[in-house]
Amino acid sequence: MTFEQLLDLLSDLHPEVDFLHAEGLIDNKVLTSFDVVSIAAELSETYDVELGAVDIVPENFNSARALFALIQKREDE
Amino acid sequence: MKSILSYLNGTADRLPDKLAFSDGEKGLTFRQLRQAAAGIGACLKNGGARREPVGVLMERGAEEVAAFLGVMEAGCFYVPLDEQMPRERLERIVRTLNPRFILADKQNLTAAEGLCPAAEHLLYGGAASFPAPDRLREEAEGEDLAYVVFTSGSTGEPKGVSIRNSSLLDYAQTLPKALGFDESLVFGIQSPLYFDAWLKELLGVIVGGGTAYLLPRELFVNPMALIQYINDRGINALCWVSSAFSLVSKLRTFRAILPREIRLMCFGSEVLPVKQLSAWQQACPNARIFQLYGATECTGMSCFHPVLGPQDPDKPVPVGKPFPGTEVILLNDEGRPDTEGEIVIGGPCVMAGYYHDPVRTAEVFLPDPRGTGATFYRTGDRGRWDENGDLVFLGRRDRQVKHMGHRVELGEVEAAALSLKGVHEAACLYVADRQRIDLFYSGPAQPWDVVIGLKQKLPGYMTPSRTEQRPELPHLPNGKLDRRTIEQKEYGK
Repeated sequence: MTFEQLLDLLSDLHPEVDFLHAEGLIDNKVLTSFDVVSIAAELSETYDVELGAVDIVPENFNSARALFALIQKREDE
Repeated sequence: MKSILSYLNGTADRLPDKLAFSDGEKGLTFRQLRQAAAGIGACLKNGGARREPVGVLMERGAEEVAAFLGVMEAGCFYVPLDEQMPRERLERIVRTLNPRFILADKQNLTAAEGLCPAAEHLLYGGAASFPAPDRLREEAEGEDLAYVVFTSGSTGEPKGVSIRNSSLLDYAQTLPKALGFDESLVFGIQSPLYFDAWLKELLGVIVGGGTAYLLPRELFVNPMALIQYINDRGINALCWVSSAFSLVSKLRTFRAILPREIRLMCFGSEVLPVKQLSAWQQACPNARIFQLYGATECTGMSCFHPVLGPQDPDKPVPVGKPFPGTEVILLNDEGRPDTEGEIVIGGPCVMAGYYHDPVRTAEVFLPDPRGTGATFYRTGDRGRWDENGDLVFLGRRDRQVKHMGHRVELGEVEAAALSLKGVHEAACLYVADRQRIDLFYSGPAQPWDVVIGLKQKLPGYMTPSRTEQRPELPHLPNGKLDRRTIEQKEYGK
């Protein structure tokens, strides 16, 4: 999965957010719990990237870059 | 008739120093809860409030519960005004209510004053410590309202479901007994307090003598921390919407951490996939599990079904049988009772009506088809009786959907979109397998502006996940939008 694809996925959920630069997505309540589940489901169904409960912590979802780093880690495993 | 507050009197006499409600940091014991409710009641009565709406604009917490009970103590009915609701929706609700009194905490006082400048604004702290008798009233007028909560309306105007004291008392007399609530239960409240879903926990506390923690919302983006929180506080009873249960199990949380003490699980409001249900059954082998079914217009839940053992993935889990005193009839297309049809509910649980809205009330009320003179509520849901005499939910008759546990009228989302500049036509579709609301519209407005506009008008759970501009939307020969063609074009089905 590329970073651009992740940005597209996130923009589908919240087109009003500039995900390239936005930080604190969880802390500032931009992403809700149900967004997180949608993202995890989309990553699994479309990109075959499986996230587990240990991955679902605010630090990993606070920015697109943090989430992309996690995805790369899971892809490498 | 007996007041719901009389239960709190009894429990506070018996367990004065036991924790009743807590948000994990701030809590109220039964004695403190009763004291605060008594003070608020006395303060409102002193100000001249009587049998009228009192808006409550407070942060979700134990004090908000005390505020609701205090409003009832004054013989008035509470109307939750959620701090997270978009301003425009709050304004509509306030216009419908025209309240003379609003109760707010410090954090929300300025917002409350801006929202309804003509009302008298009472600060929670002052009201709760107002001189008052030790005990709450034992009696209440059954016909008087207890609360009004606003739900999604298909025309874009939220509907104020008005519930009588007698309906709430009926709920208090049936639900705790049916589900076996007792003093040993420690609830984790998932839902916001501005709907009726949390009444189960309210009754678990004031009737059953249990304790309830209001689970912080942010824990639902961190499922491991959520389960840790539940374990740390000895929470053993979860009455959540199905999607909240699914959220935890879908992320395979139980591979990392298990809830240790769950003894009671109630799910409802939507279907819980059998796969997720069995994940919870395995994680909580000692839990009694119930599927619940009901409508806000019938004071919360009307049917319950104990879920025993593994479930057949090809068969829906029934929603069971009605609580004692509640009656369920299925009406076929000819309007006659049948074994399959629209679910209509009767009994003391049925609401007084939609607040100041006789037209929409008449649309959902139905005289008992057998001519008993009782009023039934048409749920708009379809159901059938199975071979065991249990009710099975089959889906909706109209365009209302359950999304993340909330009731959403797709028509309301469309109405909100159409009120925006540059939106000519709008069609809203629900993608059930992805749990997503999609909006397609025509007109020159940019998707970005439509999304921002919708966020100002609708609560978060109602804003579409996907908003797409199309040159035009297809129509049926009668001129109506052809939603089936849109669905085929967009999703290939």
